[in-house]
Amino acid sequence: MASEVYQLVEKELDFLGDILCAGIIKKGLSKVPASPDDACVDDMMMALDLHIKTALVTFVGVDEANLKILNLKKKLAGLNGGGVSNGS
Amino acid sequence: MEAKEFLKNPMILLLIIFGIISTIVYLGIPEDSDNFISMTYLVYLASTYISTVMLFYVVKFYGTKSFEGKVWLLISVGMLLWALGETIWYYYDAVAGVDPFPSIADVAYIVAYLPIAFAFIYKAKFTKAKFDMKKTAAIAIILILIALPTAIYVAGPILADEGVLDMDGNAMDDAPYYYFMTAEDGVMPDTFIVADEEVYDVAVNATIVMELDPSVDIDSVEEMFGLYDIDWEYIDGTFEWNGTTVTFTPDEALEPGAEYEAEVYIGYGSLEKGISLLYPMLDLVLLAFALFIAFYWGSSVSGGWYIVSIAIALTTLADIGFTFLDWQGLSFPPMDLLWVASYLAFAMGGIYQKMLHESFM
Repeated sequence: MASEVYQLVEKELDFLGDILCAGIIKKGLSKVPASPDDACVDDMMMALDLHIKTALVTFVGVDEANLKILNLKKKLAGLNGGGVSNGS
Repeated sequence: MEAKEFLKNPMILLLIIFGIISTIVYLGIPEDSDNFISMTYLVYLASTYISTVMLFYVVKFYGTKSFEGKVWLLISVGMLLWALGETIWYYYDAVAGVDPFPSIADVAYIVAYLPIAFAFIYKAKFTKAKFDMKKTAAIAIILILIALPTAIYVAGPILADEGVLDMDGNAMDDAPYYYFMTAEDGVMPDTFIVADEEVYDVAVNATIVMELDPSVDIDSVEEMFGLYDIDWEYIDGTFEWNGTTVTFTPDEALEPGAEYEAEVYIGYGSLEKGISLLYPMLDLVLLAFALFIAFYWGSSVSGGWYIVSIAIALTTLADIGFTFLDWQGLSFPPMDLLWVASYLAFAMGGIYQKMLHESFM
């Protein structure tokens, strides 16, 4: 069963398509390393910076990717009850 | 993704090899060879369908629910319509022996621009690029540099061009055409020439007698009639009228054993003018989108879109070239290679995107 953190990111990046979205997030988590089942907020924050953001840029460009990553981090921070940096 | 990795992909290799084969066919087979038309049509049509299949393969990878999948689906539909247009063109030209321009093939070609334009708009919507005066100015300058000579040297002359007219000043859609060959020395020649038939062994001092439609404007006929030798050198002569029958007598005797063509020039009708100029205009719209991609999105949205931009630029060049040549009554088959390259480049762009995104999984 995928973690709440994973499900949140997957839902937000659903516009990429199911398989591609899952593949990108899983590869990002593997670089942390973490797995979709037990990824925590910090793991996902790192995955966003290490891999997911770069992938996202190739779909929607730098500006929109930064915006989407920032929004994701805010939502993830909400799960943790904390703030967020823009990761750049 | 590195270029080496891209070039090693079997599909990209197939597209490159196909492009080389097409070039060999167009440039290697003599134009007067029996196989030239069938072989060039074979590679030409194959390029459209290979590209269409590969683009739908890209769509399959993304899925039609994803936004990238929808973008490539729209491009694939556009490519399919172009493939259908090319097939209809082939049927008219090579099977039915009818002039394919203008025809229903043009409907398929023109409608194809819609999904492709929507694909770019949809993609642009997701990137939400911010307005940049310098980039917009650069795009505008490039478009003007292409549009201006096209307007002056292609669109303007085509719009101003008029063939033979009737008494009301309207363009006529039918007029005599003659192909004949003068007799070799020592051959007993025929002395008359019949329109719309090939005539051989014509006397070197033969006159051309034309029965014209009663509604034709006499001055217009004299202006639009031309007798040309094989090198398209104009032969002067005089006209004699007797009602609707006109006799053209060349000023000097023709060469023995030589080919000649004579016609009353009809010119492009309104429909032909409209359609032939619509293509460069639609291409410029697509090119504007392509330049937008290249300038606004930059390398961040990946090389696949650069390749698609090149594909559109190639189509633009081909369409402008075809419009000019067809209006002049000329053809230059190797120019088809621009369309072949364009179709293959569309597929390459799609495959590049797929490979790039696969590398993130």
